[in-house]
Amino acid sequence: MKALKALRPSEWLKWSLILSGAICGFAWFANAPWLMKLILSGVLGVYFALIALIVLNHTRRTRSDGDTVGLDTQSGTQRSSFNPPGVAEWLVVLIVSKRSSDGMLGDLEERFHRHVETHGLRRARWLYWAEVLRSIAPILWAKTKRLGMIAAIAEIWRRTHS
Amino acid sequence: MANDLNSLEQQMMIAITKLMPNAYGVAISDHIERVTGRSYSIGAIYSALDRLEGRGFLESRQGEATATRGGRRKLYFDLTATGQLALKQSLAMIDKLRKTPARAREAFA
Repeated sequence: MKALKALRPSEWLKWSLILSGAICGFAWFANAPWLMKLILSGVLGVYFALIALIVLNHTRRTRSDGDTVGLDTQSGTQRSSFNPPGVAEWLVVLIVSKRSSDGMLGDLEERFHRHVETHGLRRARWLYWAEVLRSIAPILWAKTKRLGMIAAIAEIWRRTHS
Repeated sequence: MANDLNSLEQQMMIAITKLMPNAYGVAISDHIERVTGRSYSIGAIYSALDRLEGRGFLESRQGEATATRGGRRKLYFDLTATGQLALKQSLAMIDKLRKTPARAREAFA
């Protein structure tokens, strides 16, 4: 379990999606009976639960890494005691690569604390969500286009081999 | 051309030269917004930074973790010699385009 937790969320997501896709593809081609489909659904459920656990664990770990003194040494500003929305952070960890996600989450949080001071907590949370959605939308779009290409190739292969 | 840079990449590389050695995501984004009035999302900034780093125009180093960042480290970016050359060539090309007199009118006259 420790070895599994050590895996990066993006790697987990990638491999579980590949494995899930392979299982679903196999079930589809093999025209599996209902019991097989039930077992496959269970396997997929466990996969996604594990991904969620690992991503949450990663978010907590990156948050607790490093110095967490209440004063920002560079800007000299006091950190507000509020945290940005966890689900939005989770989305960033899930979609963005490990290398960029740490820097990005830090930058987003820096902006969040600035917004808390200028606009208040409620608006800062809204702005955080808006910034996260604005940030991940192009990445998601690029990934979707790539997946669409894979689906198109699979469809051509299926037609030529049926 | 391998050294082609788009508008955001040019703006970011110029911002990095101005902010060095303290060029990181928020500082770059704030500088561009302050000077040009254009606001880019952190995601757009990071995907461009990744792209430029992949092409060897930038190099990154981890900085200090601060409380305002939830204990996460800053990722600082510096321009490499290749990056400086690419920026210089890209800006020179735009200058050349700007300085070239319009010949289209003469051709149609």
